Amino acid sequence: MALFITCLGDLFFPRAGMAVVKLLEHLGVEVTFPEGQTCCGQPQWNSGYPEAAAALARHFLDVFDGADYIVSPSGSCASMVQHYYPEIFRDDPARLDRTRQISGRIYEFTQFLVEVLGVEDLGARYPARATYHQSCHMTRLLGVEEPPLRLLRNVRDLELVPLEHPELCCGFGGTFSVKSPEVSVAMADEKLDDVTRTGADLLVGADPSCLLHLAGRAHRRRLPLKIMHVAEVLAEGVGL
Amino acid sequence: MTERAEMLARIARRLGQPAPRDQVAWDPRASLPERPPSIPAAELVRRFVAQLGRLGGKAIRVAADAEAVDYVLSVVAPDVVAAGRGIPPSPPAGGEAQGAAAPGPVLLWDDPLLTRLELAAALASRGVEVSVWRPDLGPAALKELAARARAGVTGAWWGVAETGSIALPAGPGRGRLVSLLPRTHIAVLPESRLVPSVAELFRHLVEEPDLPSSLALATGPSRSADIENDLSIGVHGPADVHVVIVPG
Amino acid sequence: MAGGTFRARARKALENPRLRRAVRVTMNNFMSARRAAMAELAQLAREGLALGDFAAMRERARAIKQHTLDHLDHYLARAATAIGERGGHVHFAAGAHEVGEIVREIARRRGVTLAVKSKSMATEEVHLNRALQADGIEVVETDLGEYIIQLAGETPSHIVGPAIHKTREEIAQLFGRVVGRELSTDTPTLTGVARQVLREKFVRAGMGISGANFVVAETGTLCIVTNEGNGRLVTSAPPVHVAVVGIEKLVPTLADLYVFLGLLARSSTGQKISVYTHMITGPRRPGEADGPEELHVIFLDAGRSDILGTEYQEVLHCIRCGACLNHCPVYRQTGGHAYGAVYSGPVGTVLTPLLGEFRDWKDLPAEACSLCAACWEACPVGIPLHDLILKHRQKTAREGLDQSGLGGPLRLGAAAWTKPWAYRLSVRVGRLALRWFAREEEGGRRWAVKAPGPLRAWTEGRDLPAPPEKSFRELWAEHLRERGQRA
Repeated sequence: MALFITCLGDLFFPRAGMAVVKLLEHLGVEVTFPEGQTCCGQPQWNSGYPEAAAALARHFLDVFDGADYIVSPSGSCASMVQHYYPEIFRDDPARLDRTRQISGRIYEFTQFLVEVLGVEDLGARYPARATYHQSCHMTRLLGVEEPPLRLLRNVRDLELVPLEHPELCCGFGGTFSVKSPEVSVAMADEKLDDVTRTGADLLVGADPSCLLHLAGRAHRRRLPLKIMHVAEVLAEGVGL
Repeated sequence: MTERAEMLARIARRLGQPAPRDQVAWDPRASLPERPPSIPAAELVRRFVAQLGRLGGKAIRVAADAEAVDYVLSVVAPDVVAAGRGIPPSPPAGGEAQGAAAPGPVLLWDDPLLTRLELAAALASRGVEVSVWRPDLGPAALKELAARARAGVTGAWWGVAETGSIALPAGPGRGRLVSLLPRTHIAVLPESRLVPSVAELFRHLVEEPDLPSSLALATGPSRSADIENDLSIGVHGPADVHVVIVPG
Repeated sequence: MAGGTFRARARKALENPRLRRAVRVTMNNFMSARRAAMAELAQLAREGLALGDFAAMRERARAIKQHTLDHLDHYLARAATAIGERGGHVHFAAGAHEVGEIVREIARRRGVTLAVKSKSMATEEVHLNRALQADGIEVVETDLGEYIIQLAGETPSHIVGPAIHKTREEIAQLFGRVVGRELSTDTPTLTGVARQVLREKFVRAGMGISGANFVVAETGTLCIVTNEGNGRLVTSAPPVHVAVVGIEKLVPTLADLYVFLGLLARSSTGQKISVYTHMITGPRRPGEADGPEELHVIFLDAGRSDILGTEYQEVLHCIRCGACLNHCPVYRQTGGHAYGAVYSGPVGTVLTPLLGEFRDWKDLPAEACSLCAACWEACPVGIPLHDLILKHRQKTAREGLDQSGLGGPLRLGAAAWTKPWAYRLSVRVGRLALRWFAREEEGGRRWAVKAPGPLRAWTEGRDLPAPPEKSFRELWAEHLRERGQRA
């Protein structure tokens, strides 16, 4: 299994990455980390620069060629590869073929646990009142909604309370967050207000970019909220 | 102004066609459910009554034509009925309560179903002012009559249990304004014309050789939520909607 | 073209808490009603009472629209012929100006001084009211919401709820001015006044103007859907009915119309069906005493045919239900006015730059979308709105219109990051830079509260956590060493 850490994960969420590694090794999976990996090209793609995205996508293919599984702690980066690489290589038959092979083997971390390894209960214990932020690309483009919830529901002493509007975007949206900062922040505020109303002291997510955005706004507002990646909760919960 | 040929040629060109196409293969059957469901009439009536009730309308199934006449009378002239039987009048089905005796005539379609019920005569015999939509009265007089009427009575072509809708066709004796301008609308619906779903209604409509000039599918009282999302009934169309399901 | 950018208008909307509350309440109502309606549709499908659940109906609707648009030349000709055979008059208008000319000509011939209108986005698009008023014709909007904003001299803030931004106090004032007395602010009073004022207009009007939700090509039937009944009144009471219809509104047959009726109200307001679904096949027939003597259908192009055959064609599937607005998290914060155009929300973000001058509207795809794809999920005809917005962004970049200042860094970054050494170097530099800008707080965490360059906009409303001391790569290297020692 090859880990795709993603650029944001590498820089901002190294602990979440290590949590993924430890959990998978704990489950007997052999984890490799292709050192040449960089970024999937999503920022370029979403901003209207498909050629620039294609350069990174070509690099991604070269780095991850031959991996049996590719697992990422970011739902949106996994969806970029799975959902948009075929469009990027529409007119490049050789790469399109390689893309098709890869897009069938790339998984978001919780999806890999539940759908490939068949693991829903890690025997973890994590006392907290928590709520889960569902990321848009992970649910709508990758189609992964249930796996993280199943894993979290099976954590002992973790009281999982639902958001009133789980379907709402947190307002990150890549370059949207700096092109429309006022609306982006208003969206984060509505999400954080929703979180606050649940009475949760812990916000769990499966996408570093959303977490970075929400953590940034929560800190500005001085909200006493702990924000963690789902892999961190699970790893700490099993004592790794 | 743009000519038809010019517009069609332009569109064809955009679609990569040398000229507009005369023939196109299309199978509309895939747009309707495969086969009609079979649901007993009593169940259809139950669903229709429940559905219309949920929307603030009122549907009632009567066992005989005479009961239908009584029901219409109780809606359009509760004071007359109350006086006759010594009971207080019932409030209207939807919207804010209105005075017992609304002014204006009761306007009826000139329709075989209503003729069968002898509604006009029955209402007149109880002292209720009645008018019938006869085209020879002239458009202006009829429009004025509809605007003044306390209630309009029509015969529905179809009823739809899924939604509580009734299909109202236009025709010489079937004025459109009868179900539109008066505050109260009463439609009479034969039980055999009740279909389970909108899909089944369309299955019947596609069989029609010719659609009427106007076919209104009316579903409960007129509603709006344009003032602070607050539901209000009867802003333009009728506020008080009744459907009387009769045998046949 | 509207003044300013989306960002500027959005900022203004964000400062209006009452507007934001009204938008949110409306959207919550519509969203939960839609959810319930779709659950009920699935149940109907199981009983064989509907073609299918939402997914199946949407797939069929999409197939019908795609087929119709791919053969629009054929279906438009067919509809025109069918309407003509029924005694209706068909006109074709290439743009806004022609629509105005056609309607004014009819009005002049018939001596019309008062026209009543049912809500129609197509007529808003071509500013028909303005054209008629120039001829001294009084034009009255009869949809309650449209009437309110017409009195206020504003534009609709929502496709389904045009006046959701107005309070009952404001409405009572507007209506009070019309009837010349002070009004109480309760809904029945206000509704009653509107009914009474507009009733008189319906009866007196020489012309009724509507749009159409659908036109059945096979039969020439216009289908108009309303909840208030004004659509029926506008098309039944006046002696002349003029319908302005975008050429994309066609469906091949009556059976196909069923599919769209099954989706429209459920997607829009969460009703199973709207209160009035009116199907008009030709003008009043011999022997009939009401209904229009004359029926005119104006098929409007106004930029639509330019979209045919392009990668944007799917936006012409739109049935104007408003579901994409109701589910858009950006619209949720700003409401419709921030879009500055007739069509707002996700579909407006796609459509407006296509119908108007692209460079005037490129700020919409750039600034009004977080690409969350909630619009696509809710769309009853499956338009991939988020992907079409992406195509706009590509066009913006391609044509050198991206003024965000991010294009250069993004392209440069991509070129550098195809080389792992350059990636590692830039991550290291970035981390050091951010840690330098960040200030230490208790608990040992560092946050940047005022970042330089492209990150400045980020820190206007958010802090930026400084990257931890070690990147994942470094932790991984340590992990490998430990693993090696263990083995």
